Amino acid sequence: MIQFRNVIKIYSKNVTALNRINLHIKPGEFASIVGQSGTGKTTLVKSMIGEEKIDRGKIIIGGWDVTDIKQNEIPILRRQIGVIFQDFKLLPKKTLFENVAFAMQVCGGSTKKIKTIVPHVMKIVGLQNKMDRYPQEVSGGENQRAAIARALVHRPKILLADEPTGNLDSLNANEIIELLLRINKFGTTVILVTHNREIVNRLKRRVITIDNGSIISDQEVGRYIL
Amino acid sequence: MFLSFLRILKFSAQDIARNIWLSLVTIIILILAIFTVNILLVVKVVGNTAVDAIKEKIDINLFLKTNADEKEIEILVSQIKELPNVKEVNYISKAEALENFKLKHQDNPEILQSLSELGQNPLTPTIVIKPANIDNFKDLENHLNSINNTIIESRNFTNYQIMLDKINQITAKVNDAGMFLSSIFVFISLLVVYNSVRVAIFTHKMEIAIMKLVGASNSFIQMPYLFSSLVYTFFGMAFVVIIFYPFLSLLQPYLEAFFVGYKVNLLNYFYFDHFVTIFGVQFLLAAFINGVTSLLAVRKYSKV
Repeated sequence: MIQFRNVIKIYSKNVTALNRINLHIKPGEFASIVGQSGTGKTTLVKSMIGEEKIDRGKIIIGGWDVTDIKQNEIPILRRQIGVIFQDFKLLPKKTLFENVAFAMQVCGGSTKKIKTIVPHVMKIVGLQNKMDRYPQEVSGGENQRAAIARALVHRPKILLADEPTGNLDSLNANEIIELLLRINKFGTTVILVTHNREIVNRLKRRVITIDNGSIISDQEVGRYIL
Repeated sequence: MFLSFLRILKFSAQDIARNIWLSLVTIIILILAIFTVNILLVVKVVGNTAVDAIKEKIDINLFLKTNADEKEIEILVSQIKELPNVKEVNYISKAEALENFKLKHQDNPEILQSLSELGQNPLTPTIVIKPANIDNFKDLENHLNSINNTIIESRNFTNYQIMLDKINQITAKVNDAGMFLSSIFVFISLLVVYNSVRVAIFTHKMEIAIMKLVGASNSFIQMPYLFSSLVYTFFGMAFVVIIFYPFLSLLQPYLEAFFVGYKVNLLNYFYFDHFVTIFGVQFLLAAFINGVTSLLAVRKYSKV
């Protein structure tokens, strides 16, 4: 599903974000990428969605070599990879429904399709009763659920979660992880980027540990070792 | 496709409404730029009318002796008609000259009184020659000077070329100043349009980031801003079309008073005879220039 072959990304002489990364994530897998701040986790995520160009190596996603992806191909790639972030990235002047619908509108989705799919994904994330609320009227956990719903509207094969629990209390964080596990059960490959030791240890899934831009550990059923 | 187009229009309308003051300033600057260009055009039209009016007035008078024989005059007229660069030859007899004189000074009783006190017609018969091409005026002058006929009493060769050159010089100078002023306004309006798009992008920074994140195409992200610049151009142009009419209406009586006897109707020129050519072409050019400016701004600043 996702392959990194000898990927190198150098920002400056003294900053090597990714140093000979070799990685293979199988379809339907749930993998956690862990590491301390500034170790290259986010660069890894950004390089997968074409936001960051790598200097050397190859990145192959679903058989598609995205290493030198053209500008006009990036939107196509991003519709196949759902991404959620720590800060939710929801528009404050739109309701949760409108926020999720926005992702379909800007990609040319028909009104009929939007009216069918959006309530469906809102139900999956458990927000079917709060669709008309604005982001500031619901909890952080619910905002993150809305962000997940938005990431799911294009039925992506991969869901990238970059520190999704960073702004949440432990209760909400657990709910989000449960939701990610449920999405993974449907067959979506989930990549969780986090430095939350407790969550990683409880998951008992694959853990890839990055330090100073290099993979220092890759365990099938791993623990947070840093 | 149509749905995407409608959404682009919606986002563009949001962009204009959310930055309404900036949109208004952009439109006002565009109005100033387009207005200045049109003022320049007015100067050009007025300048051309002035030159045409003078060209129309240019003629050469051959004053004949009062006792000149009609037969001899006819021969002389035919001889002049044969000359190159002669457009028209008119013979004005003594009686006609007197009639014209009286008509011209009908409001001046003192002159008419003096004329009647003379008791006879003091005017001489005249041959009035209009040149075909004012540029070859000197040649015609030489040809006429070479005619050696005893019935010619005197020749009047006013040097109109100097006057024409002066008018052409003034028009060129006004055009240069206008071009300079227009260039400044066009340049300012380009900067303002560029800045408007830049600010609009900053106010939509988060939306653009989300659009990119969820896979919206670059054209979909950029098109609303291009469309906004078209809307600015349209409103700018529309306001110029509206406010230029009363401006020309105010100017028209002064022009008519200045160019007595000559057709100079700027309202007709701008609004009826050349409306599409003037305002249509200006709109297309302004839309193209603003579009390119917006595209440059969007390409540079929409990388969120």
